[in-house]
Amino acid sequence: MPAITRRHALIGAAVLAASPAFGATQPATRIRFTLDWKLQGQHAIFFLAREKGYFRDEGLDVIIDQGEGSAATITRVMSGAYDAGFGDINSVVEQAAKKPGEAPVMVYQFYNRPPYIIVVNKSSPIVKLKDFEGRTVGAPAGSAAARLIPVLAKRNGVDPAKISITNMQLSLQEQMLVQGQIDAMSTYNTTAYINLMMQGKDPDKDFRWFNFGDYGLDLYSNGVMVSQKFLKENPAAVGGLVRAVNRAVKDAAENIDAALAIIMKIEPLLNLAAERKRADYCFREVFISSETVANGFGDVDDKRLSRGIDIVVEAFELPRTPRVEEIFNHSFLPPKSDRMVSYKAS
Amino acid sequence: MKENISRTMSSAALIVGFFLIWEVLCIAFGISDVILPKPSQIFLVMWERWPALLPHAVQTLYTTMVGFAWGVVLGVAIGVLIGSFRLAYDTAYPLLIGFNSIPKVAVVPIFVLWFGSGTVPAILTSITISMFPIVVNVATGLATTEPELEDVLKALKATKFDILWNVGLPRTAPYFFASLKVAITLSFVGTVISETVASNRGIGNMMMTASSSFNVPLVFSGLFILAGMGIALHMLFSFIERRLTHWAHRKSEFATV
Repeated sequence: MPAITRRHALIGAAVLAASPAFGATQPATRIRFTLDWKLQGQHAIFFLAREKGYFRDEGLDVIIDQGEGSAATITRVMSGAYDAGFGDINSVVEQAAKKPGEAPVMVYQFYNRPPYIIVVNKSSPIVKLKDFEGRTVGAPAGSAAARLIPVLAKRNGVDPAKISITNMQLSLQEQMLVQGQIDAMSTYNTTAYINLMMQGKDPDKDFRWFNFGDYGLDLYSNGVMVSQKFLKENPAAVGGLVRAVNRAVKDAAENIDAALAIIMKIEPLLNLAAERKRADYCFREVFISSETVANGFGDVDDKRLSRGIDIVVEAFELPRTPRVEEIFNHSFLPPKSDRMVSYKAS
Repeated sequence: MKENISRTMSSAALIVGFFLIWEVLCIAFGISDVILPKPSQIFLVMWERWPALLPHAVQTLYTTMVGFAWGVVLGVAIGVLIGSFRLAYDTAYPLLIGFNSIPKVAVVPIFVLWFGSGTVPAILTSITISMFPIVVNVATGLATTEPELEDVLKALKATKFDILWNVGLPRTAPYFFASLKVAITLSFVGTVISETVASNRGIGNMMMTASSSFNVPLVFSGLFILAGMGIALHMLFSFIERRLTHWAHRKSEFATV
């Protein structure tokens, strides 16, 4: 074995410096990111950002894990196991009121129209909210929609104590509803609408929908959140995350099929036809609204958010009312002109 | 030898018969594949989707093997400790029994909060569930070492470690290998429990995805893959057991399985 001379060392250093991988960039910032659910069509956006290198362009190494529910995202981020995630803003409000220093902060809004619904069979005797008294509603334990049922009830003069909620696995609720084992189920319309279609039903004709938005709960829902710790330590990375996600949203809105091709490569066992419908439904019914057309995608209207916070605080009888700035941080959003998203349904 | 072959043949025929009856019953009663798919359909799905299923199977197998390996290491260590020291027995045993009584599905969300979802909680669940039978069997094996033998060795100035190494552990081998066969299948159970709760890949995760899109034949093909892997590993450890502890088996019938 020859001794390492100064010349060897110099040559070695020169070779290393010349190679593109070395010296070009600093090591990527790692972000552990949790989704709200098992893989669904709309999650293609995040995988698109990863596969097309949008995260890498921002110096990020994002690890995307599947989730257990939109409310569970908040617990996962608060526990420190995740730096960021995709989850429900109203659960953030709840935690911000209870544990101000620990709750995650929203930085990019996705679901502009409230996706929360209760569905009953068309043949069911339940026709108005009052009819839910004495009935059982099924929902998965981590569901953000089920957590809002007491809010919905109180706002509409229904006794929340008289509605019982039973927990079941997320994959079972549609089957149990169709088979009549539960009176109603509560979840996101993005999940329910397509899953009922998959059961061979016509979601509009065979079921009756109670959309929380129609009953005075004009709430925002899922978006991208980061932990306060991560935001303090890596503000630049948060900005990069938001920029990369925004780029991916625009790409997916332009060409949803290309985005879905990416998620199908990651999980070939997904049902492409169903997930395509789901992604399409998300963009048309939940993501895009007159508000996003006017103000750009990803942002929230402070007045509307403030009303939403009041609703949540009142419903859960929270000890304090968090300020809007505690819940949503606008400062990482790209300029409005970069956030104009128009969905081209093909 | 001839007897052996006919025994193998008849058991194979019965297994095939089991699937045939299943198939026939499904057709006879017109059972929808959303309730119970036909075996032929399940095998077909498995064949067609094999390239997509393979990464899930590999993930589950990998997690199970890592969890099992750690389960064996920790199980033997704790088993030796409990089997050799009175104090360890008195304190660790109640703790272990208490811990083993906790349904593992309740522990997974806690692991997820600590380590995030994915491989780590699956390995931990697999360890916790597969360790127990090993601990119990190793401890029992050590406890059944004849005291006379120990006394003789003590008289010959053997240390406690000498006795453990030369007599205790070899005596424990039949118990230990028997427990491995139980532990490997439990290890699969642990992995899959964790995968159904929180993971990105693995048979458990695949079954959750498939059942949320009502692809029941795919769910069943996941079950078949799990069963297949379980049988294969069980057979592997039976074989190892027979090779290493054949001296302990006095009867030939039934002793091998």
